[in-house]
Amino acid sequence: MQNKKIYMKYNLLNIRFLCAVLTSCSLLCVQHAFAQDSSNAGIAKLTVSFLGKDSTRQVMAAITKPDGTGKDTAVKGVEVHFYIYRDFGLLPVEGDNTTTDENGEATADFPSDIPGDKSGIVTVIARVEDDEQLGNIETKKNIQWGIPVNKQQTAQPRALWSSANNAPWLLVITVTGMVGVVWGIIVYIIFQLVAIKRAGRYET
Amino acid sequence: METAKIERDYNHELLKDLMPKKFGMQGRLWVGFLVAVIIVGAFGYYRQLKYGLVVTDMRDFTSWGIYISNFVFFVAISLVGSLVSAILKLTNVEWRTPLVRISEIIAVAAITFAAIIIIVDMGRPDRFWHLFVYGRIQSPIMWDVIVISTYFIISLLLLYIPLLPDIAICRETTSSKWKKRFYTILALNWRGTKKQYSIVNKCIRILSVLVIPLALAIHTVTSWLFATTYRAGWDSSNFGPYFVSGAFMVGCAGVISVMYVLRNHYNLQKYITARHFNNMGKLLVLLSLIYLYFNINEYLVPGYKMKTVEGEQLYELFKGRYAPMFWSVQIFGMILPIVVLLFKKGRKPLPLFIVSLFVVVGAWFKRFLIVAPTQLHPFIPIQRVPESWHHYIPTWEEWMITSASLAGALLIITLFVRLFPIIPIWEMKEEQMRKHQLAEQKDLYEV
Repeated sequence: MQNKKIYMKYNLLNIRFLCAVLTSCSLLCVQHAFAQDSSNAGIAKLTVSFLGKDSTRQVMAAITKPDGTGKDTAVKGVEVHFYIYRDFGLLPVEGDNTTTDENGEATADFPSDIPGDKSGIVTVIARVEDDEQLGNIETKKNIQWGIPVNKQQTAQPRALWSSANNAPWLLVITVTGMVGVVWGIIVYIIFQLVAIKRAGRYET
Repeated sequence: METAKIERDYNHELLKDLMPKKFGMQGRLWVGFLVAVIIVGAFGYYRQLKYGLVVTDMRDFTSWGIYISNFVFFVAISLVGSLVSAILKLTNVEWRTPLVRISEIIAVAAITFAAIIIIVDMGRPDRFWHLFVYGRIQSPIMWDVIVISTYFIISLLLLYIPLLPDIAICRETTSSKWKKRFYTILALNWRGTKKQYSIVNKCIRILSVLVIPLALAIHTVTSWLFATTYRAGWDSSNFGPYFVSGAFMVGCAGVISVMYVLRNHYNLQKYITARHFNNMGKLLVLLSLIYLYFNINEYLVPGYKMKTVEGEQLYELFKGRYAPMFWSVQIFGMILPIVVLLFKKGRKPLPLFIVSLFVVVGAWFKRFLIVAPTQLHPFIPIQRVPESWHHYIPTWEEWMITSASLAGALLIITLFVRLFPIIPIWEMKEEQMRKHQLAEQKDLYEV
């Protein structure tokens, strides 16, 4: 009997150990599946600066990488993607010189009609994407080149096409009401299950 | 209170016939086959997680592939739970008793995998929770998420609550220690007292009423995922009833298929009789006729006009690359069942089983025909895009993941049958007693 108990105990331990190993393996697999190539991240440096005034505005990105002696040298021939941060995504910014030259610099033309926040500030993003040599690098920088827009004035109406916070009241009340009633009944049924359990306990 | 008597009478005929039985060689092979399909599907899904949705053939135009058609199929077949356990119950159809649990477990298995396959369709499943945090209540996708999760809980309760007296019987009769523990937890102290029966009957009545509007809602909302999108083939105000009628039809065929297999495998001829097949056959032919009516509306009216892109899409279905599949589905999945089942001989168990398989397989491909061809016919012509964007042919990963989901649903049903009585013992006993009382009353009246 004692042996059987010990055997059972070790058996349970084995099962627990097996479960722990399986869970760890699954987590590693998922992590591996989602892992992105970041082997070069942190080595190369991407800086963003802004050139020009008024009608001719340009965004410039410069890429440098430490050489054997540790001194930063320009990286040539890398394509840089420029974007402006918007509410629902990133707006690509085009240009003729988006691949870095011998100075490691790439430029894009900044549009003159981009709405910004109430002070006209916009966020510009420069990215190197899936480059064989550098992998993925990204840098963001703010600049007051946008048209000042007070978003309070452009608030969306409560409509089907608006954002989640501006759903029509009638829809919100109807859906919430229906879901509330049905889930209320579900909760009631679950309480009845508790009542069944109690009834069995008291009447035996 | 009668169930308490059955619990103590272990030699009762109902217990001998209906208690869950161990798997034989066939059962083990079947489970092994299902597990093998699931493992291959899991490998396909691992590849999809690792490399992204690029391992599928879904591209910019066909962004809903067989995962979504499989999802619609699962939602459709899950409606059978409400048909048999609610609609037939509320209309006092007494022969439904042996079929209730079969239909409920099909509903639970199907709705479980409907939810899973939606996550599979996501490129980033780790962001699934965003639906709940950032979801817009204006979106039909949000309505679908709400209705599916609610229907899942209701179906689970509708399966579990009437199962309580039978779980208690299993608890009393099993000799295995772990099973006794398992049944004891699930049985919720069931002793078959008057109060317990009264609560169970009340809960079943409430759930039976609640599940009908919910079942209609779940498939109507699923149809709105398509109908609220302005696309050729989906732009129809008919889609709600069209989907619901098709769902009842495939659900009915699903129950017939499962009840035939269980009847033959577990020798349940005494409980699932030729009369059950005959009646289910009549129900199936009625549902097929209703679905045929909606199909005529859905294809004939736009087919008469053949306007612009909708005409091109219909041409593809009627005469183009999807024509073999389209006509096979219409003929073998709908016309043939109607013709065969109108005759009494066609409603005998074996022919009805074969016809039901045709309906189920046809229903799966029908969902594919609703989902895929429309997306390849956008209002703006497909131009200057890679060649692979012009067509949609599912990859092996998609087929294996889809097969794994179907195998998973079948595995749930198989394991359920192994652990619980698939025909409700206490309800069968009640039915026998009712018949006996009626016969006695009739004799008295005649005397």
